Amino acid sequence: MKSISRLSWIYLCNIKKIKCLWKTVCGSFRLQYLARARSATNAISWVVMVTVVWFGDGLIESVAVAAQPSSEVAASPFSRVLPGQPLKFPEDHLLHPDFQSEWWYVTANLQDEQGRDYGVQFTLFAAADLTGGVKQRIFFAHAALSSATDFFFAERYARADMGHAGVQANPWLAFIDNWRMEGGAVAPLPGRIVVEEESFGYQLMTSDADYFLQGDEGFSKKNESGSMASYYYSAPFIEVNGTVTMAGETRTVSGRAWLDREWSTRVIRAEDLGWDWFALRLNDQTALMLYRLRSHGEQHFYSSIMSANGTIEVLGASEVMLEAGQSQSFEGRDYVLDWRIRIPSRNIDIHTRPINDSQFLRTRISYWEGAVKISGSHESVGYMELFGAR
Amino acid sequence: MLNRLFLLWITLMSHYRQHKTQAVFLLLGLALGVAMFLSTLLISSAAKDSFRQAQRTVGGEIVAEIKPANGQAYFSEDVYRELRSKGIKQIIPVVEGRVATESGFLQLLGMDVVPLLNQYGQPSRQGVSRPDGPADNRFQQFETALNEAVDDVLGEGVDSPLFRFVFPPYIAFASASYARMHGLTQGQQLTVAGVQLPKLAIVSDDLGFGYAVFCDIRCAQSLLGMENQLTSIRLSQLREDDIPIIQAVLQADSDGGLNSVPPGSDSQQALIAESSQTALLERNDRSLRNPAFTDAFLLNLRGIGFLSLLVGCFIAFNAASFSLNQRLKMVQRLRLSGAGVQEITLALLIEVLLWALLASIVGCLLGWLVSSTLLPMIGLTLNQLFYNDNILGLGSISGAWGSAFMIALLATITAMARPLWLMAKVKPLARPEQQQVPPYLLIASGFMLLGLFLWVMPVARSQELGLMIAACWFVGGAFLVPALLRAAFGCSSHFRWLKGFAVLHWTFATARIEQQRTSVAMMAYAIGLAASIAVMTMVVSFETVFVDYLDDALSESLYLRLDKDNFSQVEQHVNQQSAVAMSYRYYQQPINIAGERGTVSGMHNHPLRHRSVSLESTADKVWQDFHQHQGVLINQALALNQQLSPGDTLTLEINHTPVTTRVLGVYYSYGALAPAIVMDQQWLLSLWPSLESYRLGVFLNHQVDADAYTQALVSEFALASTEYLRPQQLKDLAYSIFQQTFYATRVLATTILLIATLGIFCTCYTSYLARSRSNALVRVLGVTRSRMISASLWQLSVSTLLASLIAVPLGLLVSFVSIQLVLRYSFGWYFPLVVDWSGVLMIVFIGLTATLIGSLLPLVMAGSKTTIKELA
Repeated sequence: MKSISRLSWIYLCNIKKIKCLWKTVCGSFRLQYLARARSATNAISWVVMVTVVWFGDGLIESVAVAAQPSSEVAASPFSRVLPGQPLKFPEDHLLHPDFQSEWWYVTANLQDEQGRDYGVQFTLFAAADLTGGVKQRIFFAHAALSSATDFFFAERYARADMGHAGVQANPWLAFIDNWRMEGGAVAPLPGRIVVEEESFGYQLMTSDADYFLQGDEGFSKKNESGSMASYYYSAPFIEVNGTVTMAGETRTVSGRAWLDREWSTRVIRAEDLGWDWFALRLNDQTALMLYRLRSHGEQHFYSSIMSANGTIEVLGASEVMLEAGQSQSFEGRDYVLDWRIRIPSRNIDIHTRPINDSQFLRTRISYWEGAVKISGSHESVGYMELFGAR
Repeated sequence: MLNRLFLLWITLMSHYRQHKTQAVFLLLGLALGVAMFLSTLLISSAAKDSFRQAQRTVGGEIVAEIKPANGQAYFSEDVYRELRSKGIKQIIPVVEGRVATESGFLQLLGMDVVPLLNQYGQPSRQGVSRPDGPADNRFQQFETALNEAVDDVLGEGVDSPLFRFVFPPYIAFASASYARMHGLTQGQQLTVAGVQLPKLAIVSDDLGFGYAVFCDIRCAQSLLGMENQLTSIRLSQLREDDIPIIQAVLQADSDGGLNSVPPGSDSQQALIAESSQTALLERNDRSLRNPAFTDAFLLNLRGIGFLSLLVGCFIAFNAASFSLNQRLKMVQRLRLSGAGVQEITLALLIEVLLWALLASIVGCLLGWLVSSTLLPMIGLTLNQLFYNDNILGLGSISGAWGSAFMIALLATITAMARPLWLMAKVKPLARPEQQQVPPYLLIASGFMLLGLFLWVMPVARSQELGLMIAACWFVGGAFLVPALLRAAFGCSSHFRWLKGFAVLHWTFATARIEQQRTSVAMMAYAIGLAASIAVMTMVVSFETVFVDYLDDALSESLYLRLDKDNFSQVEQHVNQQSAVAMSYRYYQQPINIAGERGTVSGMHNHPLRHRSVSLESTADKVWQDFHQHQGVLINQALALNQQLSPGDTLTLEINHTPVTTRVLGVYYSYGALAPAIVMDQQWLLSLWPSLESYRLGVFLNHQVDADAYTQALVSEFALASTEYLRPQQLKDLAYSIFQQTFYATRVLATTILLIATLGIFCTCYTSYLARSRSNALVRVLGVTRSRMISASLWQLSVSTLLASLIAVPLGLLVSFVSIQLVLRYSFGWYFPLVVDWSGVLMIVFIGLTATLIGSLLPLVMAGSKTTIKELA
């Protein structure tokens, strides 16, 4: 009934015309543009990716939904992200069946015994949709390993009802096939991340670490009005040690990892399809998270500084200056690989540079994501993700 | 030089401007031959592509499969999950089975397509394009089809096509050919036993769904009543390192815990499972068997194509020879005008090239048409007979031009080389030489003796040898025709009393004069007729033995393939019923037989069971020895591969124990190429105590209604449609497949006969042109039109009957060789020759009638032309 009433409303509001218009614009956009500009990572990325990959034309409908009055939105079978809803732990470490999209996102900057730099990415996404009146879910995951000379990635997909992917507690486990992110009893930290592929793999032990709620106590706006938002928390100070295997060679490594968790329900506007995202460890005690969302010439900034003592400060958009440097083309699209980030109020003036320019994931939805080195006012490491149109 | 050459060529070709009919016949002969041969090549090529494509289904190329063990229909889905968690990738869970519909059965194929999106450990470098996943283009095609189908079938407003395929209410696919076979339509939603199937999308054949309705695995499981069960797991990659892991998982599934692989197991041994396992890993034997089957079938197809080309060449040769006679004077005049032999030869070579080019163009178009028409039949044949899941697609016509030209060039040179060579070397002032009659009898005897020599020669029998013998006898038989005609018409000159019947005498006399031209056409006709008879005889022989074989092999009233949980209960119930004459457990297990992968089956001592095995030769003592464990029965494939016959010794490996035993008999096994043995059931179980079976064969008493009994059993134990099978349904299906299988062959064989008939028409027409003056003279002398036509018809009938006299035994001989050698060494089985005389006579009658009808037009023309004009 809910579906029928929603569809009826759409017809009543002559939304079909909007859909047709959108289909013309987004159809070509989705096929020619999005199909090449691929997935997402952190915060915003997954929402777009999930929306684009799995919901296809539903993207258009989501626009229609976004344009609907609140009574219609309320008819959606999935829960909406609203402010003032405190996050609950350990429950929020697990899957949120009432939300449409979700991910567990780990990036790590590592060094072996010879001081060589490595970057590691492990991401498990969950995407849901309503078919036949029932919420159904598919998991997919990306794993990547980079060094100064090599870069490997892999991608896995699994539906929830076949039982070879999922997230569970006691003990806490997020898995897809033989890729596993193991945690404690009810939380992902401390734990272990295992990825085994023919050409690469890693086994990393992760320490316990503090979780930081992004945005307003975990309510993370994706536009100025807050009509697009997600629940979002991070753990940027995870100690890591273990082994990485690349082209048959296994090395002992250690370093720092960063966990991001986010869940939402189709909050992103279809045209919000470009962003630059940074997760930078300025030093052992300070981490800077920054993203810039681009859409139709409009930009939405968010940045926060987290300290190892457990404090988080959200910075104003005017405080941060992001300058693009040299770019490189992948699959016909330019990605800016060199950046200058200035936050004068915090005496931050840094340059970021990839440890390997080729950290481009040619996954179903392709994007650039990789380890970077920081120089300037701070000498350190971090991760950067670049997606979509500039 | 070039101008002279051009002028020469134009002058020589001007002959065809004046004699357009000759040009048409020449082109027709060549083009038809090229078309038929090309079409068989195109179909062969398409079949090979199709086979390759069949190995690359939506799930990628299948290299191995995990299948249920112990005769079970399915195994637990836990195996799949366990394999994934152990890092075995590129595996696709599959559920297959039949659902009963009002009009028969629908084959369902359910797969989980979501993991096909995976990409495994790809290196990424600048400038490297995105690598394909394991499913590569096949999955992309599927996804495109899915997007289109969702729009068409489900209408607007569907959010995610993949979600709609994977989750309820689902959407299912059927290839266009399969839909046609079952009358399925786009958007149709069938109701089967009160359950609705998903909406159906009809898609192109080349998507590789084959002969099944393709849907999501959960959908198929639900419809087939196999929740959380799989019928197979397909592997598109099998690394040697994976085999022990898979074996451990399969063993753990049986034992309830993980066991290590037995020490010392090499990869090949590891493929032979322990009997206690519920599932087995098998390398994809389709990949081994399919090419052999397909190649053998296509070899026969090409044989028919080659014969067509030969017949076409005869027609072209006839036309070229006729044009030679008419152009000789022209060539002499050209020589007198200063044209050299080399220049004339060059001009004639250009003419050959031109004809080859024209024949290739016309032949290619005709061949394409023929191939497209025959393709669905051939596709079905390959699917049903050779397990080829994919329906054929012809590809692009542009790829055929090269082959067409080469065939046409070869055919043109074969057909025209001799006449043109004779023309090129003609002397300017010499009188045209009377053409020497080739020593037909000598050539015929040579080929026949060569065939006989090959037949008796003590060399290893093979498919190629069979083809060579068949070819020798075909050619020898064809050359016997002119020898016989010559002898027959030559004899007429010895009968002085014939001179008393002027018209009859004239008929025989002209037949003798025209004999060479007629002979060529009659050779072609004899080949066509013999090919038709050979094909018909082989099909009839096979049909006769196949029906008997089906009756023997499927003599049970009911088969049950049960779940192990309800097997004992059902077995007990069946055995207690008075309606049941006998029931038995069917044991079958993969084993190594003389180093080859095969199967062993058990058979207990009961006359009803003995009936299911048809032995090549029967002996009373066989069953006595069999049940006293004195030996085993082997199938024809094993007998052929290992050169075994009754009395020979055979070494097997049963349950890791070597067993040396005697071959007691060889049984017919049509369609099976894998080696198989049957041994006494008690003996088998004593060698393999852990062997289990959940299959039950049931013989009902004669007065019992099998349908009613089956329905009662199904209701009582809630059996799924995959758990029971009526052999009669299998027989009906097998027989209908048989009929469809040989339909294409029959069509091709009939086509050769028609082409040969066309050759006779051409001959009659050219003969009419050549004899127009003499015919006119005869008319002037008072012979009426009807008598003229009757005389010509009589002449033609005698020639055709004489050709048929040779064609009939020739066809039977060739079918005998084909059955004994070609089929036997291609397929592994053979059967006795059964001659359907009424069928043979019918073919002869059809050929004769078609010939006479075809020749009627030129004969009528010959009899009706104004005599004054012809005599002028």
